[in-house]
Amino acid sequence: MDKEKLDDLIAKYYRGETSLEEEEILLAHYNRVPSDLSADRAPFLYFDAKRKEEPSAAFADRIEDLMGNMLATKITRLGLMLRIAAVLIVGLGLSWYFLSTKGASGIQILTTKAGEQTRIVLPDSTVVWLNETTELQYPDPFQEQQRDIWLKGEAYFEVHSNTAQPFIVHTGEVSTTVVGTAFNLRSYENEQTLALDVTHGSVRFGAEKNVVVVQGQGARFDLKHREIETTPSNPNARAWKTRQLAFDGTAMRDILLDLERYFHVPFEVEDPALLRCTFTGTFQNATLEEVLGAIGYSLHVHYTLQGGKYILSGQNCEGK
Amino acid sequence: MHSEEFKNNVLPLKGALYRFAKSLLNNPEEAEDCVQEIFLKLWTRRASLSTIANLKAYTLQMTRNLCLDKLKSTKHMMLDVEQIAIASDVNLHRQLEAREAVALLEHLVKRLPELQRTVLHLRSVEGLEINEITEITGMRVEHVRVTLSRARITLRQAYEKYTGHG
Repeated sequence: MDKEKLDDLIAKYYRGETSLEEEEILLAHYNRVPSDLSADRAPFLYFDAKRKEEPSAAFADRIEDLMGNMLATKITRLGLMLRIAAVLIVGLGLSWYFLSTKGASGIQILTTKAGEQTRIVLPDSTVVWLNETTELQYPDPFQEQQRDIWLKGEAYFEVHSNTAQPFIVHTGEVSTTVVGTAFNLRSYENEQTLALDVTHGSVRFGAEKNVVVVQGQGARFDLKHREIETTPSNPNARAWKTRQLAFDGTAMRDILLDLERYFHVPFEVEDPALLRCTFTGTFQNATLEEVLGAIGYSLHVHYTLQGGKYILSGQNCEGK
Repeated sequence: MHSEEFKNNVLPLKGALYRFAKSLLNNPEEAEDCVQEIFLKLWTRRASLSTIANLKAYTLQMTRNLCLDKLKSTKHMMLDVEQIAIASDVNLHRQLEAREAVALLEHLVKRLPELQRTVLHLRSVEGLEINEITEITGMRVEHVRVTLSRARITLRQAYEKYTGHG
């Protein structure tokens, strides 16, 4: 390239008018003199160095893992950084487990966002109601030997009876095995306890050890101590679905737990003796204020809202 | 977009997104976090990604928006830090080596106004056409050219000033 042509090209470059091809020509020209560190040439050196920059190997791995996990579990909700972090911590072993056991095509995923509920009929005619922020996965069709489904969150199942093909709900390491029954299963990742409440039939429940839970019973699996405890079924376990809260001589301690779950608000009592008060009554589609109003009226309990918490105060109920 | 397509078409953009995020945020770790966030967003939108004509421009645009949001909160500290860095890194009283020239330019580029830095990066590092840059930045063609011109001239002048090189 002659000097005049080159000068034109450089001038054009500084006017921001060169095409990409012309910029390549300039670069090729400068590259002929590697020691040239003039103000015209040096920026090209710099751009060339920048072009070679890549994210760290660890980061590339992180993204691959992330994608691997997303491919495996098909998480489709936003705001999942925490969950994904948890998945990553659990590690590749688990994700390979998922990939190898569920990676086959035909896995259906159903998710609900905060405040959303939905109902679905599975291929075997089982009906499932999903509470909010819940994810359900199942193969369509089910395998011949058994019906496997995976749950994160809370759902109520009315399982279509088929003794030849058990229905198994996987929640982490804990599984719930049934043939035909109706039950509520709550397994949110931020909660320490996995809660099963059986409405009809019987259910086998547990991880290493299993218990059989029958109609009207419940079971709680403590994730930290890995212990199963059987309890009477909580009548309000599926209040999220029925919109009904029923209390029958229920202690305040349990009432508040139900209300916390149902309304997503925390409670505190000024005097722990209040927790032993009992209340009987049924609410349908009630607001929190209505429920607290009725309980307060019958037990002479007051409530105030402080810092996002409902604080209950009043005299203890002994002798009433 | 299928998982496979996502893997083949979107994942390979990570280098370009990272470089762009790093040029905007001036911080490799934050750039990586930013790109990870972008990938999560892209994954949730993968159903509609097939309709995007220019995925690279589209994802660079997302990256820019996210980075600018992040910058709003931390903007003020930057300049002082950079001034100090130039003074200590580069000995200006002798002939520069190529490596040092690159380091100096790195600092000088950081001092360009954001728009100049963005346009310069997209053009000279990622080799994008002017119309792709308009798509990413929302600028008009003429504005891109003028900004590019200013960035190139400013960079040359600053480099001359620091090195005494003509």
